[in-house]
Amino acid sequence: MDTLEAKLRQAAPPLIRTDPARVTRACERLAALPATPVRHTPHMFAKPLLRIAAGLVLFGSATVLLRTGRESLPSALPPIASLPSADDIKALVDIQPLTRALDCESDNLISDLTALTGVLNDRSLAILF
Amino acid sequence: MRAVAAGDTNAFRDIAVALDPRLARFFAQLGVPDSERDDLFQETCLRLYRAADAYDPSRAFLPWALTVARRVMLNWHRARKPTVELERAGAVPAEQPSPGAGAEADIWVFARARLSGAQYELLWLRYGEDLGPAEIATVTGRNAVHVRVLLHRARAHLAMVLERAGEGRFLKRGET
Repeated sequence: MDTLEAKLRQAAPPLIRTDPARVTRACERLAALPATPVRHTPHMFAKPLLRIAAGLVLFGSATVLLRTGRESLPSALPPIASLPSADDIKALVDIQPLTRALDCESDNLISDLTALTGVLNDRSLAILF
Repeated sequence: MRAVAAGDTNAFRDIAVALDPRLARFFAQLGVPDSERDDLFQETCLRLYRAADAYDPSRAFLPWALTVARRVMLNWHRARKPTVELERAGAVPAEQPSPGAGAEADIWVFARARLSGAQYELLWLRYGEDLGPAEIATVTGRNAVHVRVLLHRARAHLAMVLERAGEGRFLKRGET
């Protein structure tokens, strides 16, 4: 077994004894909760019917959106000059944290690939020789 | 848990008795001071009790309980430091931080002072709580492949800091 892994397992602090007072306080809090109503078992066709209804609603709303979209599209387009430019959008989005995160992830992936390549090389050499 | 789902609070006592040592150690390892563990334990028990009917008996109980406990702990962390997520925390706060302690004294204390909160948490779940990658994925809301990759990186990072601190005897030859 890996030495570091074994050391971590061996050094894990043992479980402490149960604190009866803490358990009692927790149970008392639960006992003070208002009684919840018994949940009724749903009808066996309830879920399929709900799914069909949800599908119909989705289809209907998509149809409405497409129709209203086609009708209002010609007049809804703003003049080209008033559209935000790429510079405006770039100013709104703070790309610094994203760049740093991507750089960090890139370094991690390179490290992983290096480690994997090393292992593959070792195994290949072991097979060949 | 079926009895609990039916509203039997006495049945939950046995669960609470079994959970108390595990959750106390879990909270302690992830930086919750002793004075707060009582509240977090109660909150976890409350959530488990309320979600008893959602528990699937075919799945292991401990990962499910730790998932709930972890969320309670994260809420507690956010309430204390709303701008610092556990993943971005420089290190998990320890009750008695000892960055100068060598790994020989306590490798977990050493790791806690040098790893990020997320890395330490993953290592603890794997080697402290003895959960498998799939179970850790359930607890942390990731997929198993991602957990394996993160565990590999956490071990590699710990090995690197051990090497730098002159504690290379914990590493086998050739280990990075």
